[in-house]
Amino acid sequence: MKTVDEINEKIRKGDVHVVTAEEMKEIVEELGPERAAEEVDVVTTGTFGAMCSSGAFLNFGHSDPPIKMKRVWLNDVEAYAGLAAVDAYIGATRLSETREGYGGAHVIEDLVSGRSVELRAVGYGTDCYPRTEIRTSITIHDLNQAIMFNPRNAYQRYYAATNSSDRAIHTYLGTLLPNYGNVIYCGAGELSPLCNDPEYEAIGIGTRVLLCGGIGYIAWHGTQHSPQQKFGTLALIGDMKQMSRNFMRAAVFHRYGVSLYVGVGVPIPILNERIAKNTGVRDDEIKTLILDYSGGRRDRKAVKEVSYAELKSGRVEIDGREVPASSLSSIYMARKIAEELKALIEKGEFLLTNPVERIPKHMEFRPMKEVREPLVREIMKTEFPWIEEGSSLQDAARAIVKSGVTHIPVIGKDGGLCGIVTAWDISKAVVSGEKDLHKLMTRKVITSSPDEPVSVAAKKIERYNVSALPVVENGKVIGIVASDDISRLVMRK
Amino acid sequence: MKALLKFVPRMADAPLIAEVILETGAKMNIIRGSVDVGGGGEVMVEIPDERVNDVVSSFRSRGVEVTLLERPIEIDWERCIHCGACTSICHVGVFSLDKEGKLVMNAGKCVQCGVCVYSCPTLALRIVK
Repeated sequence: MKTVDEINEKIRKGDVHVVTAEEMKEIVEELGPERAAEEVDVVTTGTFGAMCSSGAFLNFGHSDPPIKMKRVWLNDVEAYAGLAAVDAYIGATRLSETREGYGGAHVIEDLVSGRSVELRAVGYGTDCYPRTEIRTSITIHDLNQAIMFNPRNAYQRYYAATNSSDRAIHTYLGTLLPNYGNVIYCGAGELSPLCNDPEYEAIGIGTRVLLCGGIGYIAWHGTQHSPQQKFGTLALIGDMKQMSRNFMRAAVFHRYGVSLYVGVGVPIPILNERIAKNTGVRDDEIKTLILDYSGGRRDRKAVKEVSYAELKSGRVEIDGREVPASSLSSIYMARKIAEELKALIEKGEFLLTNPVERIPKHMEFRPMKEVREPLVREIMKTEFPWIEEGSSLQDAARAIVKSGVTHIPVIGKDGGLCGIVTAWDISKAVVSGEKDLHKLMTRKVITSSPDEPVSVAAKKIERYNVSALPVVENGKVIGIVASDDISRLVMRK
Repeated sequence: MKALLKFVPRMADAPLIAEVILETGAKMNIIRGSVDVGGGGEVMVEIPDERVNDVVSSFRSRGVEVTLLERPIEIDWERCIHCGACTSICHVGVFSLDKEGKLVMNAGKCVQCGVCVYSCPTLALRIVK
């Protein structure tokens, strides 16, 4: 058993033993977890993948006269300005309004590279912030703060993608050739941070990490964090002013959009034998599913389960055929990040931190609660004029005149529907001289049910050219839905 | 060696490629062809390395413009992040990763289909015309 403080003491003295995750596999295999835990103090992990859920908070400072920004653009890419007067959040995937193949990720890369960026904003014009427009040019040095905050980075693992359709499709995982022409996968596998600490035992909120080459921290569990499915994620925060373009890159995905390659290096303190054992994980033990991305729906069909070892071999078998597989994340860069972090720790320039809170091990990733179609139950009238079976023509006419409603259900003693009589039927009776209500009313009534979607009821009203539908549940009339109820629903939207 | 042959419209009626093959006896592989507006066009051929000189002069003597494609595709190594996305997309095997995971390019195999150019996330690839 070791503590983070003891490891930091070793780092300060310069006698810490740091290895990369890849080197650790060999050590655990050779010495076993117990001795590996004694020998090794820190294992460095790395990943370098396209992480759309990334962006940065920027503070521009105040102009004179000052402006409270309503909308703000950086190189024609709009940033979110619904914060204080001169704070904004630039998201990686926001596209330029004028330049193709350029977006928020490119603005972030340009800023990190020290390039100048055009700032344009419009303001509300208030007593304290009278200015309504500004246009200037800035570099990262002109910003008070440039704080990268990525709500979801460093996926533990990710689905691999293929395409069963007969045309090429263009996705956030790149180009997928027709007829299972290729497989594209993501994640660094055995080098990946969360794969080396799957129990979230060594790292947690407050762990110091290397984010795009600068100092960063694990701020929270990431969005869509799904630990039971081994799809854990991290929310990361870091100082953009320390970052280097070598460890991040803007990317363009054909017919999809823009994203940001984010380099993340996470040190894993080897505090005990169990943590050491977990860092011994190999690509053939990390499994994922190949999904068919051709359907365009949320739930994609699983084609088969594969290991990262199979994926990294560059060939996977689908239906007895060898299909080329390639990675969208860079394993080469992930390795460089793990090595960079190792070098920084060895030089005493990077100390470890104790997590202040654990990353949750139980959490659900649910689909969206979508706007449900309204049901007849929600718009039907439950109080309505009706007449009893056996009533006279006069009773029906009286009910119509009294209520102003032109369709009157005829209901039996048991509450069941016998028929419906309308003002039109009564007009016809006047012309024909027929006085028997039973003969006049419509007995084969078009009805609705309380759980029927309103759109289905509306189609019935239109198709059968009726003005209302009695709503029947368990053989009893519980309401009535008329075309004016549906019109009111439409007007409300 | 790959070469790009450019035909002006009036040449399209004559069987020029057949003539050159018969004259030189070189076994050429026709990789792709396209017709431009007006009837001219472009054909990419693979010429056996030892026959390049006589094939090229035979085409040129017939008025065909020949461009030798020593590197049909170029990469900007400063932009490449070695993800290797291109390795599964290229159907002629131009790209592979070495033991360290670094991208290796065998440009000579390229048939200029262009799929890798738009599939590269960092736009590091360019077709040489």
